[in-house]
Amino acid sequence: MLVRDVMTVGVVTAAPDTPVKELAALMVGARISGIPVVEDGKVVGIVSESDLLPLHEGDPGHRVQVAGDVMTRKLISLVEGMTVTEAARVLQRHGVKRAPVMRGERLVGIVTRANLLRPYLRTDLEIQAEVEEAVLSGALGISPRGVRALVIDGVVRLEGRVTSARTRAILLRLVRAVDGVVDLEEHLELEEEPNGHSVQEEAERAL
Amino acid sequence: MKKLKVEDVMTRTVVVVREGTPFKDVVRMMLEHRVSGVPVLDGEGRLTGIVTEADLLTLEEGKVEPKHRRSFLEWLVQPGRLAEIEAEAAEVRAADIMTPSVVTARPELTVPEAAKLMLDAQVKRLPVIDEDGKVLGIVSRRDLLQPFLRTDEEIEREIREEVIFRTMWIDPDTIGVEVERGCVRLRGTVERRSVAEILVELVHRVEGVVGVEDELGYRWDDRKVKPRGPFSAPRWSENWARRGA
Repeated sequence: MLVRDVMTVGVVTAAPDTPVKELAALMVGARISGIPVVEDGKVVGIVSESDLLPLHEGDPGHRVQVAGDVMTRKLISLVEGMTVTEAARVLQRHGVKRAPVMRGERLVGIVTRANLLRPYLRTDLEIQAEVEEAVLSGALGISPRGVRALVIDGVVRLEGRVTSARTRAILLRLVRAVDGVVDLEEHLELEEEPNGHSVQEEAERAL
Repeated sequence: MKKLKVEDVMTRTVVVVREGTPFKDVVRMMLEHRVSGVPVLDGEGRLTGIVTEADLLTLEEGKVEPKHRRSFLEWLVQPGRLAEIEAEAAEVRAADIMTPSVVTARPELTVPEAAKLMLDAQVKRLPVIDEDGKVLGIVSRRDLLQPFLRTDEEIEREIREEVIFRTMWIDPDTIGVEVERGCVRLRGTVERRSVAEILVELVHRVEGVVGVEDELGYRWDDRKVKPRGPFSAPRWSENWARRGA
């Protein structure tokens, strides 16, 4: 899945002179944990819950604190075509919990860790479609008459016949790796077991 | 390839507080240990609640005793009243501000199940507890992203041992595998075109892989062989694996 599939659009933003109190109210009201700070149409920083917490401790002085005072200026951004895996690595590498998604200079979305977990939330129908189209017919060229897939609560049940133990191993690996799959129930029969040995035994002897 | 479980990815060293821990100490611990939530334990060490960054930002009516009723935001923005408010805050304990009903996970839950639970409940972390309510660890969003963040060495090992050898039954020494920041380069020659294609597909779907550079060659192009069987057999056959047997 790609960043564009999981990102939050319609991002709540703030200006550099937005008071901290308003930022906190925005976070609480909109149930968000980070707000990009935009100046002249450009993202200049980002304020997170963690940026507000130290204010509990220190002496705030006598001036009203604003977004520009507390925001993180180091700006790590993503693009829509990145894979979720790649985005997770970017966040990790830079030690940030969220990053704006940019199209050129324009802010088009935001990705948090919660967004990156969305592949796990795919519906059974979406999972089933990927198993049938991408894995069974696409990668392996198996027709629906050969192997049937049924997905309930993320658990994939596979039924049918495959030509060899190796096809089965490849099929199971590919299905398990489909985003959103929680577990696998396999009811596959082998069409042949040449010479009374499994194909795997033969292959291992051959190596 | 087994699905990872919560116990495989959870953080085992957990910063915890007691119900009676003063509020200021809770904030200090969260900042010092760079955590965004701390489980609260009762006298017997069982989980009774959790204090999160969100709890700190939403301290509001009803959550604390009437005399402490004060939006925390007020503390932030009214420096003149700091001393007074701090004096009140000193009396506030973890138990006054915690979220008492905590969504928890069992260690044997799979990572996708834990992720669903976390997203459905709209929480950022799940304390992991045993049957007695004892905290074994805590699993955060970051922990659940671990499958995406595997090291290059782990990815390379899985590709060589699990994909190339155990799944495709190809001699791992005949395929060059280089992994850099999750990008995989595959080199070598396999028997058939369809084998190369399926290998690339498998590698693409290894957890943590960002992209695949396919530099595989093949000895013959079985895509050109027609017709395929009436029941649409796999595009590759098992014969190649038996060569030399």
